[in-house]
Amino acid sequence: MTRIHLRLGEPPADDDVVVIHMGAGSLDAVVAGALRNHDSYIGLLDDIGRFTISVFAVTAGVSEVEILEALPQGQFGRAAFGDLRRRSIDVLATSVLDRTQPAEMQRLQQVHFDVVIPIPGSATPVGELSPADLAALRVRLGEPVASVLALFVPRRRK
Amino acid sequence: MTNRESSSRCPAEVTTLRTIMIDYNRIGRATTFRTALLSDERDGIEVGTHVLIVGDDVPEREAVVIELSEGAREAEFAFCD
Repeated sequence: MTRIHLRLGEPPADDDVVVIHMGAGSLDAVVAGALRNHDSYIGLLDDIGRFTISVFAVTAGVSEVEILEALPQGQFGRAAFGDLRRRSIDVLATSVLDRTQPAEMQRLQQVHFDVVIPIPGSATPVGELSPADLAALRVRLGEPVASVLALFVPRRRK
Repeated sequence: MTNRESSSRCPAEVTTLRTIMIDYNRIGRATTFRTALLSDERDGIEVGTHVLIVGDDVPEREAVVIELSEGAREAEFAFCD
């Protein structure tokens, strides 16, 4: 089973740390990921899930090149950690633990962070929602997800 | 409790495959991976079901279910290529 581990310590202390979101920034795909991952956070901080976007920070000896090579997406976007902090967007230091992860992904878990999408999570698992409720939630997530993705432009090719 | 496939995984029969959109930031270049399934993805899914995996800025790939949790809440997939 995939588990999320909350790392002790804080998000990057330096506002200049580069944070990378991999992919083209497809709204549908990022919303889908947020829905799929929501329930992993129930019980992590409290009884509420979180809608999140996975990012990787260029810190702790992990280079941007390592991050780009470990992931298959053709594009990526950069933001400074300070851009997120100034907008009061929560960033959780998390590691995703799964036995199926390749070694290079396991190494990246020390610099994996979750940007929390500014919309309340739920104590009710998304996995229990009906297709109709899921559809409505997809619509609700669109605008807040877009507001976070806007921080990671322009998108660059590897 | 899970069901796990023990026979050969691929190729699929030629049918219209359901699409599952995953977060590649969680799996990287893994050849097998686990993911939660949402209610609109569970109907009729079983070990051996072939699906089309799509993601943000990653070419579509066919995968097969190799393990399924009780109630199909979570599945393990293996890519076919």
